[in-house]
Amino acid sequence: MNETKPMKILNWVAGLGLAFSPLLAQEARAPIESDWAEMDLKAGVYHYSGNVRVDVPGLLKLTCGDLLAQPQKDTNRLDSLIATTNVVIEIQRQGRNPGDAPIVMRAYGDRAVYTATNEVVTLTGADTRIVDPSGTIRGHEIVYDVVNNRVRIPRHKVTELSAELFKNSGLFRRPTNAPAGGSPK
Amino acid sequence: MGVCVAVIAAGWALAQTPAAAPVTSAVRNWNFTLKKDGRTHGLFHGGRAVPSTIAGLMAFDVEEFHVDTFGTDGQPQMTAESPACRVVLSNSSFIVTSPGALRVVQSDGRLELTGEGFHWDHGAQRLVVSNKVRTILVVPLPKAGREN
Repeated sequence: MNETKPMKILNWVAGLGLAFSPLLAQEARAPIESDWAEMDLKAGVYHYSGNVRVDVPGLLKLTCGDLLAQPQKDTNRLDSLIATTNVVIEIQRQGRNPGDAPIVMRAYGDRAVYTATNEVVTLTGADTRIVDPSGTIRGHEIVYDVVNNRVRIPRHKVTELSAELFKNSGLFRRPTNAPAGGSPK
Repeated sequence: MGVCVAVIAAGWALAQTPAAAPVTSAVRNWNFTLKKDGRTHGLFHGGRAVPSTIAGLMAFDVEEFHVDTFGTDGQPQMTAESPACRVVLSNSSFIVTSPGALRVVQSDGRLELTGEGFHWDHGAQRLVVSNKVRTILVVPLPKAGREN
């Protein structure tokens, strides 16, 4: 049976999560919630607006103000997915070792665009950043290659590492500098 | 590409095009079949229906509205339900509107949509849901990820 376009959208969203995480189940019930929706079946355009929330349980959550999905011309495949206004993509991935708590990574931006031709998600905006327990990476533009699971920040980039990373490293541990002979009296 | 719409109510039937039919009192067990090129595209039915005329077109305020749609291959596609809505019929298509609830289920159970307040223009193939939209998709997932 042919997939419906909403399912193709969610398949892509699920694929985005899978790029980060081994699968937890063979199928997932993935809700999309919004204040308003328009489905243009002739054009194949699906438009969700107002408090849009997409949840693929255990894999990822996407929230934004507006979500637009468009198919490729003359085919039934998803061409682009555009999320705008306060875009947050939250991705869960497994910890480094079995039994570790899952690691949550959040990407923030004003606009996220997925294009099927190159399978790339481009996140842009004034305060575009990726936050995970190791720190924050900021950039004017963050490009995520879905196929190769790589993040690229082509322009100005600032990385802020969490101090927690160095808590036990001794890297910033300072000696007491106490004089060998004790303090003068 | 003619579309045939036949409206049948208990003890009451319309011949010819619905728009030319007289407006009568409320009917029960309202139903009609939407056919196109000899194939059934939709089976509509409801409970009590009050007919009226809107801009020269026949309209029904239908309670317990239910429709089953079918693809060109005759296979079931979708089921839609609303506790109360207005169906406006033209010679070639129909529009269904309501400020109330809508529930749409794909026949294979992999898609379910609910919301409040909707406008479904069958001719334009456009559905707008105005409030509290919730779409649940059953997403097939592969067994292994691609983690590098």
